[in-house]
Amino acid sequence: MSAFELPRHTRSALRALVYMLEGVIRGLVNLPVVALGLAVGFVLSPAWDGSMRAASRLAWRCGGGERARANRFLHAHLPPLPRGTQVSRGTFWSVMTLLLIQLPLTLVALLAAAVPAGLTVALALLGAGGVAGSDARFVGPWALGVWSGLLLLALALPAAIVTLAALEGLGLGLRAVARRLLATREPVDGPVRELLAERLGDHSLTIAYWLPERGRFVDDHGRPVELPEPESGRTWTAVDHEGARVAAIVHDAELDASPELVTAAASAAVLAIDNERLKAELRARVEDLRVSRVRIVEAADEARRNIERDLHDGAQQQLVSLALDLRILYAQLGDADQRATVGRLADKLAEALGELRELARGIHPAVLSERGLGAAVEALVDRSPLDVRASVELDGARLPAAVEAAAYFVIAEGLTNVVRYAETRHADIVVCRNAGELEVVVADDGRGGATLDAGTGLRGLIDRLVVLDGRLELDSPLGAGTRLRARIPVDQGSLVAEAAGR
Amino acid sequence: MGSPQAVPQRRSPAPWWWLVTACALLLVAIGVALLIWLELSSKTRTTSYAVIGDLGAIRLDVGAADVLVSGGASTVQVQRVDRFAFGHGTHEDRSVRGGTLAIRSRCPPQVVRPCRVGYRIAVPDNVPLQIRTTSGDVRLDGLRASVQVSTSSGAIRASDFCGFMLRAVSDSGDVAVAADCSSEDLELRSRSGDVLATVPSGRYHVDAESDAGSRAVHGIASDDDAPYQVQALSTTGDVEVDGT
Repeated sequence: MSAFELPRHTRSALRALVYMLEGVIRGLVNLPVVALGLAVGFVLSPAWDGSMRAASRLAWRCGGGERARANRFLHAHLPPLPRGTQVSRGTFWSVMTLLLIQLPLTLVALLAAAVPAGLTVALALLGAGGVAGSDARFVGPWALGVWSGLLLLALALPAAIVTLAALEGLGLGLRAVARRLLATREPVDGPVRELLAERLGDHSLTIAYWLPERGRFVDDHGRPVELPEPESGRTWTAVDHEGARVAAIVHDAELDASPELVTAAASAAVLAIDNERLKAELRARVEDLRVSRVRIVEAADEARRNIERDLHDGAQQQLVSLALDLRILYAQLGDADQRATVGRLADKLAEALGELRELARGIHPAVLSERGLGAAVEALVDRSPLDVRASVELDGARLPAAVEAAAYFVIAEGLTNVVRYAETRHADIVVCRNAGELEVVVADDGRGGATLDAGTGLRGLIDRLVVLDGRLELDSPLGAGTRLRARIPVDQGSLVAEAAGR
Repeated sequence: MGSPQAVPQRRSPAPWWWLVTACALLLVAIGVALLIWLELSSKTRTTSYAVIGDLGAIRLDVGAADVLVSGGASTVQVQRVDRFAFGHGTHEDRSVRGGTLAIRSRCPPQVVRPCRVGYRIAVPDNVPLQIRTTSGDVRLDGLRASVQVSTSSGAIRASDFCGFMLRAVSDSGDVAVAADCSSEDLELRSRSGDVLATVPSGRYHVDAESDAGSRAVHGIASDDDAPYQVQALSTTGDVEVDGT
């Protein structure tokens, strides 16, 4: 059965049938719109200049719809109609001709298809009636019975095949008419992918551009793509230009066009494809830049973490042990003057130690890298002089370091701003994942009126977030509190995930 | 960018198109064979018989057959012309019981080409007739008797009628009656066909109505107390009553 390619022929027959049935309805609309519209436009044209133009534009749009239909159902591979202003008189009237003959032509075609279809139905019904014994008529010399019924049913099969072939053949005929009347000689510029998709009748068609320096294929956005495996239902056709690989056209393996046609369409478009390839190469570079920027931020964070660790393990430890030594010395001394001096020294040392701790936390809090965002927020809340309600809903999962750091600094800066400007004692912190993004909100009920341009603190946050494709929003109406909200994409496909993957 | 004019290389026709050709040829061959058989087996058979003796009534129920009844004969003469193929001729039952001649005939149900029957019947005067057909036309010529005719889609046509009563009812056929003399009761009805009655001029009790068609009465005087009645009714056809 596979040699007959029955499913393919059935599909094109059904497509032709749908095209014809829809064509009747379309024709009932198109015929009056075009004929009446143009006539009315012509009659009114002495009174109103634009009338003929408006009627032509409406009719031209109907023509565009017919082109799309011919491509969809008949695989006519017609290029888009040019815009109304660039149309020659001949092209315009050939499209109008199609719209005007559409209804009678479609009706004649349907009538022609009805002959074998009617025969099929009649044979099947008679046969079924004979087999079921519910029909006692004579068919020619024979009385209907089980055997003659079976024979008629068997004859319904070739009739059905002829019906399919008739529908397919009528579809081919209508396609020839559509191609003859809707094909335009005017040059059409448009995205090369759409053009090839139309020509080859495969709307899922994509183009993978070859970047020789990187040795890989990328899509329009410069993102790497894999070519389809054999047996995956999709296949690809190479596009070469002057001996060098330019791109690959990835299309449906069951494309209703021969490989030669794909190659021909591709070679006709090779210059445009090469042009697109250069754009894709540029976009690939931009993409690389974006990713490398994330990595730079990550590297900077890493360096700050190292400084913090060095301070913690080095200077801070030495100062702590020095403070202990002073405490022991203080206990051993008997002279009151000396004790007072040592006591002063110990106080200054404690002050220096506190400042050093604060400095280290500002550089990069150890608790963030060790225990994650939840613990770091708790530490921030504990240290804050405010009454803070914090809600961190991350299910204990860790996020990429750059995202955690950005979220942490948003909260820290937000709380600092509340303390400095808001004139309130209450603040709320919410951290949650929402629609593929990490959402961080710091809100207060203070005096409001803050702006993003106010200080360098928020500016720096915005820079940090932009690197991660994130956004910062500030909602601060006067007298109604301030709401600082940051959102960072973290899901599959986000820049952060991509940077982590490379 | 030029449009790709590359034509897919010409291959020999795919097996599918061989299959389609074979199927089409098979169907055409069967059709032609059936046609030839039909022509070869087509027959026209004429059967004539006379019914001797006095008859009180004649009843015809002949399905799709056309009927022509002419009056003025001395005995009942029946001629049946039967055109059929494949050897499946008409079934006819005829009986005389209680002075009534009853003829019932049907073509066997046939898909390809049903048989076609025509009756020509000559009847004596004053023998009441009852005729029923489905699609057959009924023609009455020079009858002098009471007649009832009903058809589904056949037309009813009567000329030179001079009987006591004529009731002609058709579903979708036309009814046209020309009466030679004034009948006591002319009842002509059709649902979708036209109804035309031509009667000698005079006074009649006229009931001519059409729901959707036109209605015309010419050349006769309408009088509810008149001894003769003409009823011509149609639902969607035109109705006309003319006096001569």
